Amino acid sequence: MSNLSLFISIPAGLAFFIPMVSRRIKWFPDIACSVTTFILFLLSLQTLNQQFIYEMGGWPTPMGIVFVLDGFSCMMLIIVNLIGFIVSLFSVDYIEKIYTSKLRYYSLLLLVITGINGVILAGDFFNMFVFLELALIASYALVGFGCGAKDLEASFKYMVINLLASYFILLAIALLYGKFATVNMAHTIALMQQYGKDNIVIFAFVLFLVGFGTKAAIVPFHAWVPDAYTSAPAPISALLAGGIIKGLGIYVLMRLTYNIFGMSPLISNLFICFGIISIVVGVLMALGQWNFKRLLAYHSISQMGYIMLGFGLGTPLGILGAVFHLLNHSLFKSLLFLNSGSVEYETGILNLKKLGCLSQKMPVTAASSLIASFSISGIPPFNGFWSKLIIIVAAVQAGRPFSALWAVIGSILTLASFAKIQRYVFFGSGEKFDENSTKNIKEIPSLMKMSVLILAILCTLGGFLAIGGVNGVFGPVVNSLSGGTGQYIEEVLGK
Amino acid sequence: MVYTLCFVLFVIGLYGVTCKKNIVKIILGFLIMEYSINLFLILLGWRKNGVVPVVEPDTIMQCFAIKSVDPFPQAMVLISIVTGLGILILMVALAIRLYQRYGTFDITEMNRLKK
Amino acid sequence: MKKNKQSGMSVIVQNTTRMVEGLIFLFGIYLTVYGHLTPSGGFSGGIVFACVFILMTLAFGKNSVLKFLGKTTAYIFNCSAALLFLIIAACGCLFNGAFFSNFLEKMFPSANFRIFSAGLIPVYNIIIAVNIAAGLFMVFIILAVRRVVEINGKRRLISTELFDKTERKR
Repeated sequence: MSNLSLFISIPAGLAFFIPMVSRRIKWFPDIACSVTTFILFLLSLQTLNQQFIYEMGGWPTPMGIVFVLDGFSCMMLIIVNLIGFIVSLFSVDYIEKIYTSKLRYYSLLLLVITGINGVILAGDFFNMFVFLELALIASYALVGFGCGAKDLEASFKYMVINLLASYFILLAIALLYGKFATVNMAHTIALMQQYGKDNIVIFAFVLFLVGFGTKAAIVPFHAWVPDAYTSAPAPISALLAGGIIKGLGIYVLMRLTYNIFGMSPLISNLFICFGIISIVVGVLMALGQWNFKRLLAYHSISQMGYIMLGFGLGTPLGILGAVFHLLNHSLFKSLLFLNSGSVEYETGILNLKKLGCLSQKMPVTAASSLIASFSISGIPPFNGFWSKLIIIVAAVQAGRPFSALWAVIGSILTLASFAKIQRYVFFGSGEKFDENSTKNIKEIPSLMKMSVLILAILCTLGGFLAIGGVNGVFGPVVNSLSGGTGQYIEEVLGK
Repeated sequence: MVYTLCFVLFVIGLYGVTCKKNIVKIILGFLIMEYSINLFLILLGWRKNGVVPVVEPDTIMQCFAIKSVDPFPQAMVLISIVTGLGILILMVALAIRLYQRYGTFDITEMNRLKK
Repeated sequence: MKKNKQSGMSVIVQNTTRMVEGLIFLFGIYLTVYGHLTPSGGFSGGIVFACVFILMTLAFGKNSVLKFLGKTTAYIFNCSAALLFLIIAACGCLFNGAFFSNFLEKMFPSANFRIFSAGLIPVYNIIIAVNIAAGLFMVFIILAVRRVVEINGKRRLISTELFDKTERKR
């Protein structure tokens, strides 16, 4: 297919169509949302191994708005649309039981998916900013969806920090426009190579780093992560972990660093430094938490550190490891958040000290949670092991053995805290529960089970699938990023 | 230079966001930051002795392209203002709901998440 | 002189509003329709329309406006205008162009500086004006229109829509 605008027009159209129809037909939003996100996922699979641009309105490239599809965009589209599909399958029963207003939830969810697709595909800075704001505003509303006091407080904190970052990004775009008189990314690269980099461009890059680093949950800017993930509904936490911090944070940051500003040893050292600090801080702060979702949120920060480490190394093997870890992290972290949602759906409790012995009553949840815990800790046949191995080998090959050491330490501590979860939630002795409260707990409904099982199967087989198809699946990704600035200009302006 | 004053306005807004305890003052700080960035964008398009970028039936296009003020920042700022309006609406709605739940606008008293 | 609290502001304000509101509405239509020839277009026209409705609510009390433009009607206008925008933009694909292409200009080319030139741009302006007018007025109703209810035996003034539409069930 060559029509990239379908990725933004289909979810946006449905987001406005759902409230009008669903007042009469009660079952419409669930089915429409699930079917639409599945269609988007199939469309994104169809764009594999292609590379083209799509001009809006027929206006030619440096003047008009373009959508660019290359290897990295294609992989991010697949990840985000898959997570969107799984989240909307899970939400069908979850929102029914726990929250009251289904229409608004589905409209906002579809607007988030529109925004992330737009950011991934955008070929000029200002268009990317507009879609970024669209996705973020919908997510501010979704995080505080159950309007209790704590949810609203978390949503306000999330909103203030991310809005500050967005204004830094807008300031950087204004500075780049003032210097180069264009907002098209490829044209900016060409002019930057012609005129050289001076202080304004470096300042704009630092502003971009701060802005997108906040959205990507890297350590100096991670303050919003625990509160937002804890108070959001569980499918939204999964979407945040699997879609927003990847599509809006790491993807744009890497596109800016590799393709637009150019990688240099200074930036490489900076990214490795941020990565290692994120790994260590995330895992250490997670060890002392007793709320299930808060612990998972700190682990999200730590895994983002692995991805920054992989990208910061700069070698093709490092990029391969980082992109593979992006894919795996969205699979197992979303699975973990959906499991916490299942536990909350059945028992209503998220405090680890009050749960116990759930593995007999909820076998599917316990098994998938075990698979996800093994994946995130890096235990051999599951997919987390392969991606962490590639990152560690790349770090050693690039001549940075201390980074590899910290990565291994982080992995061991991750194993420790997930052993804690498994013991307290699923395999404990269960003396804290009495018979009256436990007899109503049964397994989760079938649609939620289906979404959890899909992710668990992908976690298990993910390693083998990717090893078999490394060149086919990840080859274009690595090429598009490591080709540097010249590759991007040739893609966009050369056609 | 005029651009320095735009940055001073931006820093004033930043001070309002980070150092004030009342939610309404934080929202006003964000508004000031947004105005300063929009002002900066529009001032980037200014040209000395420039004319309004509106074409009339008797303009010569080459002279017009050299003399007129840049219209592209004006289009960008229009979209940016509308985006800022959406953000402002969401912030104010959150502030009203927070007041209903906590009874105060002071953010230092809203720390139930830590307990 | 006893002032009836339920029905808005004083007589002077009401008479002035009756004289002026039609002119403001006309100004909004002018801003929207001439948006491709003079500065401002759909956004500004929409905001002026919303201001007319807000002025009427303030001067005459909320019941006078909510009779013909309640929350549901405004919501339907908002969603359908947004959908219409997307459908017309997608129609650009059918006429051998890309997503947002100006197919009316290609089919019926016309001279510059007239009101029916520039193809689809006036159509987009009108749709956006309706969208923003409905949206802003809906925001105004939700945030600012209050009514008196009985809570726990005491009469309280609360905002109508913000109270408990979206809640957890526990």
